[in-house]
Amino acid sequence: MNSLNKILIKEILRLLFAASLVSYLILFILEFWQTGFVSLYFNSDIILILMIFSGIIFMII
Amino acid sequence: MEKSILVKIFKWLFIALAALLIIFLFWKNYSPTGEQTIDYNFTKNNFTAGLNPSARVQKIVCDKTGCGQAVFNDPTYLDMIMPRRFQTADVKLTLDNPNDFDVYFGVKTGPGWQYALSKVDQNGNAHLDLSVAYINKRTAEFILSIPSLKDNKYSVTVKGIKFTFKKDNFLKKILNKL
Repeated sequence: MNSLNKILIKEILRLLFAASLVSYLILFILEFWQTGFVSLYFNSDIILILMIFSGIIFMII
Repeated sequence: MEKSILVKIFKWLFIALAALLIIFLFWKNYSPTGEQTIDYNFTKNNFTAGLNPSARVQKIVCDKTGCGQAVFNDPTYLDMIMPRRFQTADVKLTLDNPNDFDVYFGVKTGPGWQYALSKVDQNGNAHLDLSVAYINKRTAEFILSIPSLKDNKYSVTVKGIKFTFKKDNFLKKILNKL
């Protein structure tokens, strides 16, 4: 992997981490505001896992 | 393709996906089309934990044709989380009722033991007026009454309860005003 591709992948991972972090916070607030607002229709753990993995991979590469 | 353009595409893709998820959740919770269907077929369901009390129903049994729960005493209840307040509900019950017992389905209308019952027809359909429903902490309580089961001798198996909740079509109202 050349350094340019590495920078590109890191940038995409950073964006993914930021997007999932903001999304998770919004979902958390919505669920806190009205119980079931999120959990009845969507498993927000998916976002959490996405956030953790993008963060870990970002740190590794 | 230039790297910065690729990064921009990904940035807007992630923003669009997050926005779509939020829109999807608001759409589901507010039902702007005025209709929401909840199909409870005795498998895991986020809206309800199933028929209760356990002393009047048997355990849920699943086979090749699907899952079901036998009711052997009267009445039984079904707590359901209501995402919104709806005006009416069309209920379709899938029953295994070999003795053709009369079946009633209803909704709790006030604190204590107050229910509005509706007779279930031969096809398993019932119509409920939810404008009088007593909803506590976003949860409505429904009642399934089969008076002939009072003496524990017989049972009726419920294989599915499909709710079609209806309220004003908010989207249509807005479109008409435009």
